[in-house]
Amino acid sequence: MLLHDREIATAQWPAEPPATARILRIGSPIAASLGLMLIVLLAVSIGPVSLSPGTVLHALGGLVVPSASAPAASDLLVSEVRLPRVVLAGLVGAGLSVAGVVMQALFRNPLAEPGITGVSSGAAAAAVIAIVTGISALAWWMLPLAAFVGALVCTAIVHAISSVSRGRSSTIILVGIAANAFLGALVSAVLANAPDAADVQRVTFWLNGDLTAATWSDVAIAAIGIPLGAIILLALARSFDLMSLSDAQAASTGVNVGLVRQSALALAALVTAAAVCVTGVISFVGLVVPHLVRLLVGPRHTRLMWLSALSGAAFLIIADLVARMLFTPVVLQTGTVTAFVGAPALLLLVLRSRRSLQ
Amino acid sequence: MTTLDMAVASAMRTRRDLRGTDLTAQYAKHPVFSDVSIRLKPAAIHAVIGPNGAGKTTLLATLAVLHRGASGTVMIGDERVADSSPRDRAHIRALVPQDHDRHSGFTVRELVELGRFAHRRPFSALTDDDRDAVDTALAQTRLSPLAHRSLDTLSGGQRQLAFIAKALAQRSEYLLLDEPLSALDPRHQLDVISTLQTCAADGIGIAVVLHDLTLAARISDTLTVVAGGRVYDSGDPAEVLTPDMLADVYGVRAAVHIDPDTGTPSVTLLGAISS
Repeated sequence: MLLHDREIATAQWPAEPPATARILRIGSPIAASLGLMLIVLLAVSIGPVSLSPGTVLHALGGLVVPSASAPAASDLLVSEVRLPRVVLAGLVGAGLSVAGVVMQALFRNPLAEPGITGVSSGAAAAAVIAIVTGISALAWWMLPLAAFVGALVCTAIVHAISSVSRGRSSTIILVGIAANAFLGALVSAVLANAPDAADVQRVTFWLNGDLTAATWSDVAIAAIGIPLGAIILLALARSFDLMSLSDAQAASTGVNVGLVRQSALALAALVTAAAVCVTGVISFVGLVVPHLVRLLVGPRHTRLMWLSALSGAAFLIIADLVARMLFTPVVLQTGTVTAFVGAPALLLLVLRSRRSLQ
Repeated sequence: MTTLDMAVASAMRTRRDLRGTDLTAQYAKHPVFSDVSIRLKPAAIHAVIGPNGAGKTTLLATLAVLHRGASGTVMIGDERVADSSPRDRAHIRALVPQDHDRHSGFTVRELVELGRFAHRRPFSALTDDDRDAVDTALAQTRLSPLAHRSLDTLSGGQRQLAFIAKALAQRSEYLLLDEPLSALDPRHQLDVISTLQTCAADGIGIAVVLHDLTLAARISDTLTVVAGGRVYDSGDPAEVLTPDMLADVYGVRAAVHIDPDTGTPSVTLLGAISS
């Protein structure tokens, strides 16, 4: 005789969550934080001149408590060269991952991400136009503002097209392909005709992001836009939980769906622009990181966003470390490394989710 | 607000009618229904029946003030629901829509906790009230043993129950359900029905779209028939569910007799009426 399915279920599934799930849920934030700290130390230590962990810690301590003696060369290497690059990689990795999580929830599409949807390219194209036209020289905040406007316009277009073709989530990828191709061509055309030859050399920087020669002023721009946007987005995490189910579910449970969608997409554009205007377009971070984190800790956005931020920071610091160290003297750009990892991951995800993309 | 204030406010909030007046709705520029009026009462079950495409789902969404292409007024007591914030509306009504098949990856308990959205502030942990509402909703739907299962691993019927539990955890005055029995086997149907009856006994007003006419007549205090873009009839189930109505609305020949076991009208379909 068949048991009622509920009795079978009771036998197999106690009221407590499975121990592995609990350990993952409690342990993963701690592991991610500790891991990130170790990775920062490692990334600052490794370079053409290797520094011992002690030297690095001494230099970092010197930043917090200024010592009376003149700083050693190793201190300067850490504080002026390595650390800004690592901090910038961390901020940008965290920001792009959070923006990826948010876009995946709002577009209800596992493949949405700033790079793939073309939002990063929008920011880059606007930044390039601002540089070539000289607008960016008017004030330090003109370049970030231009990037933000570019990202916003691109977000609005993606949103408009994806809401017209409701239900067909593959549309967003096609829109992204078109946007990336168009904006990439625009960047190339603008830079090829730039009056100043120095601008032209930076074309690869904008199309394929890089962290070489990162300075503290780059860090400052990222450190304003990314945490600001990310913290407000974190406050909306529960709305994202509900909106990932359906708009009807979210609206009937008390979410102001229209307002949340528009402000969250604008904030994701802000975070993306803050990243792009200091590093150029780095794709796939917002795709790979949230997916791995989701596999570990499930779909709740509060946890997902926190852990994606920490893991995204670690991921991009490592990617940047690989970019500058792996094939010395062959130079790779940071965006190249993330593409090497991310493009196959995208392919896997497309194959896995082909049913839901129809 | 003190706890006492909140208790008083919630006592005052209960026992208010939810009235839709002159509701007109369009879907993609096609009129679905026009000038429909419907009145839901607290502590009662109101069943809505009607042929496919009659606009029952749209009517529920319009009553929930969720349908964009709608006009008319929805009042809770003497307040316009449209004037309240989305968060306040969640205290007035919860909706269980039909779209349950997303691969969201939430566990049952996580889903039901989402029902507490309107009671919580950003970054705040679950309060004792929240936990109590979630536990009660899980117990009412008999999902407690499955609380930590992922929704993706449940049967269609269990998933439907989980979404009902989420709506229950919302603790709203009214509960609107769109064909909640469609994916359920008889046992799960009975579970849902007894849950709805318990809720009604607790003072919650319920509107439920159903396809099973006999069942609708059996569990409802008021039966509304929606057909041809208007309310065909509304009232006591025994008076509404007649062979003439079934012929008019559904185009079927049917016998209606009082079931000796339940004392409510029961429909036997005899054949289609050729038009």
